[in-house]
Amino acid sequence: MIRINLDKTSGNYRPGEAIAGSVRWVDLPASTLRIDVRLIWYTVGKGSRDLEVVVNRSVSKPAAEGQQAFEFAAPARPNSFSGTLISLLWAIEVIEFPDQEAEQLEISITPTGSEIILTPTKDLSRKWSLFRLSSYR
Amino acid sequence: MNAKPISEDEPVGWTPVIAMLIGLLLLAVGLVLWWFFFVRPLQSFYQSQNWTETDCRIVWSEIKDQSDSDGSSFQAIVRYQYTVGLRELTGDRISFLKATSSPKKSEVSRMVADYPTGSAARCFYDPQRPEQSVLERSFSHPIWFGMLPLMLAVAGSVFYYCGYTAYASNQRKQLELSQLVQTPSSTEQPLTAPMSRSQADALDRQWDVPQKLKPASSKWFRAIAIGIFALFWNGVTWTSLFSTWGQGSNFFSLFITLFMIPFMLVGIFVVAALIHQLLALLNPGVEIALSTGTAVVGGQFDIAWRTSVGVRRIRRMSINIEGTESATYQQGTDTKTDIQLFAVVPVLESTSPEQIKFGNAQIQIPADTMHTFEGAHNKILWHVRVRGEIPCWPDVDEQYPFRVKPNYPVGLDDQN
Repeated sequence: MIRINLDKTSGNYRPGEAIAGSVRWVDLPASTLRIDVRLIWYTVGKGSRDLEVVVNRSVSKPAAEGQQAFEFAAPARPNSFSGTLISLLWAIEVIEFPDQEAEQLEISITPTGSEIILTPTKDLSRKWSLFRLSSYR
Repeated sequence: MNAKPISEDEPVGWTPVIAMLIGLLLLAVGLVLWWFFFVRPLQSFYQSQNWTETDCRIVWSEIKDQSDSDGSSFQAIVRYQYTVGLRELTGDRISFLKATSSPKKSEVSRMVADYPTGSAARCFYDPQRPEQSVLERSFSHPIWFGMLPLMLAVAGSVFYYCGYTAYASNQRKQLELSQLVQTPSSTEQPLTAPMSRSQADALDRQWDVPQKLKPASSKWFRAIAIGIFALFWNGVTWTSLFSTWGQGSNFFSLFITLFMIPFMLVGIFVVAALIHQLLALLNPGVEIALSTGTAVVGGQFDIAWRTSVGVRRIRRMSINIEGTESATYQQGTDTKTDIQLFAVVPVLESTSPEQIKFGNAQIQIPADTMHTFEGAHNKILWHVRVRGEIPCWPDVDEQYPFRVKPNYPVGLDDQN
């Protein structure tokens, strides 16, 4: 079993701020080769998923039980946001290899410390159409 | 441990390689068929224009029934004799461009009826190789069907390209991931990582100068692209129809005509779109300049516009700064992109020719919005949108992309 703990309980970070915490594991299988601790962002929503592993740190041949601290500087971009079609999320992800069992903890990275919400706006101008010929009144 | 890894998405595995192989196969088959059914007959047709004409005698003329488990087809067999010097030669080629077999007996009957056994005819032979000869060397439209295998080749190229892109992207990801690995000497030392920089930061710096913006797509490019598509679509559709109509009116030609109606309508629609686009080429051009090509979330910048000749044709113009979400996804075999507007900052809404002709304004990007983000499938994009209404004419409607960068906390911006 793997648990991720953050020093900051809110999980909201500003760019440059330290994302510090620890990973604790118990009852790891003897076959475990390594544990990866990653800082990732990924998109959810209508579009196919985009993701990037921004930081990847490994613990080689971990004991069946143990703990590992981490401290990553929050990147300046992309900011966490939630829109109508897409949301972008940041997370700390821990993966055990080779079984690829994982644990994630969602966080938010924005200059204000809270997620950006994009609300849909109506196009106030008349909608462009392929064959529209204006008849100005 | 209770979740599947997000950052270890399904491995791409063999899929891209298989797609590349299928692509190469389709490309090769398409090109070979195109060579045999279009290039080679056309080449022979042009060469035969210089061949020597001579008298010949039809010695055999019949319709051969080739029935098998796949159905029936009929082949026109015509043999003729001609003399070159002292040599008496025999030929059996009717035309380079016409198919001599068909599932319809009426088609080959006409061919055979033109050359009854024992009749006299004119034929053409190659003076360099007199055994090469042909009865007809006039142009025949069915040759355009020989272009159809090119569609197979295009499909193969698309398969290959998609497979290669997925393969290259997978390799790049693996390489990048391996470069991000650091193993501590003991678990007592914390795992650390400095603040990472992305390529987007470099792009922001590159754009962060006063500049004249370019439209997202050129009017000429749009007109040429629509023109090529219209030519291809209508070429194939109408050639098929004319060829069917040329075979007389029967149930088959009526069926084909009815079947082709939706394709004809698409062809007419595309031609109308082309005319619309060609008229739009004559629209007044609008130039947009910004004090910086990289605005900051919550920051201010200057925008200026200038409309070229024909300003008075525009009866109303609006200029807005727009932010959009763009999500690209697969639906079945189609790739679709949805766009959603999330921010509109008005710059100009005017009917005054003076204001339409030239002007400037100071604009602020909202403080609580999202910066430019360009993922492979998902994007947050910003642009200046210019719309101009021209009575009884296609409107001016252009987008001029620019970038918006995050509002970095104090001290962080200097490091960029």
